[in-house]
Amino acid sequence: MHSDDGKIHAVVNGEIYDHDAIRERLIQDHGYKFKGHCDSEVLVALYKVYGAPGFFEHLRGEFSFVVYDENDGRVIVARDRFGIKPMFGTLQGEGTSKRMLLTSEMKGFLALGWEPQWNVHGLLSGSSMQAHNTVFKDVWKLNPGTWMEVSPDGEVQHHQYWDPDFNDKVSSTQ
Amino acid sequence: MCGITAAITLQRSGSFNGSNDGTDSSGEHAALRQQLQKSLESIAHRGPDASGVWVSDDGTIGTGCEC
Repeated sequence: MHSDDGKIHAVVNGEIYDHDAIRERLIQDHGYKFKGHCDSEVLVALYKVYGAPGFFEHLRGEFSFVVYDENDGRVIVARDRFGIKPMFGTLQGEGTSKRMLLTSEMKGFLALGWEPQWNVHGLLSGSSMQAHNTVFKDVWKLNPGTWMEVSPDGEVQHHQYWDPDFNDKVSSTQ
Repeated sequence: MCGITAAITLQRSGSFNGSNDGTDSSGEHAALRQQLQKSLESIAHRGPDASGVWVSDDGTIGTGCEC
């Protein structure tokens, strides 16, 4: 999926709720030129208009995606608020050829040269099921409601764009 | 539902990363393209209808998607 100006590239898994109305607003208010009718294009257009993290507010749905922005060279990776769609990552290689692999299912890493090793401590302790851990060593999953940016220099930062908001139990009974 | 896969070289600054339409007539980055294609095949159950691989000009960003 590429933006109308060809500067933003993305691969998206999932669906964006209310994408028809969002598409119309993008056309009317921002003059975006859609190529097709795929709802993933809405995600790319929203990114072009609002950037990251701005566009998360407009993204309701079930999604996991990787966006590459040629304008600043950043890569943005994110998952929906409840983690309905998956995103796994692992680092591979050393030095200048070191790369981050990302996929919807960990078996997707195999063709990219990944050699699986069990996360033994995680399996024995149960921590492999928690937080960002997985059953494989050095393979993590992106937490729901979070996004990650990889700068052109290879700096990786994680941010949380949403957290479930629970009313304080005590105050609701008063 | 879809399946996505990507390989991002961490150190990318210093290389030109111009836009292209993804077609690769010179055969550059063929190895990466093939790897991404095979990766998508392994998760083909997520998206049997269509698939596509895109690699940036300097080969530092490779993505694949199938729906």
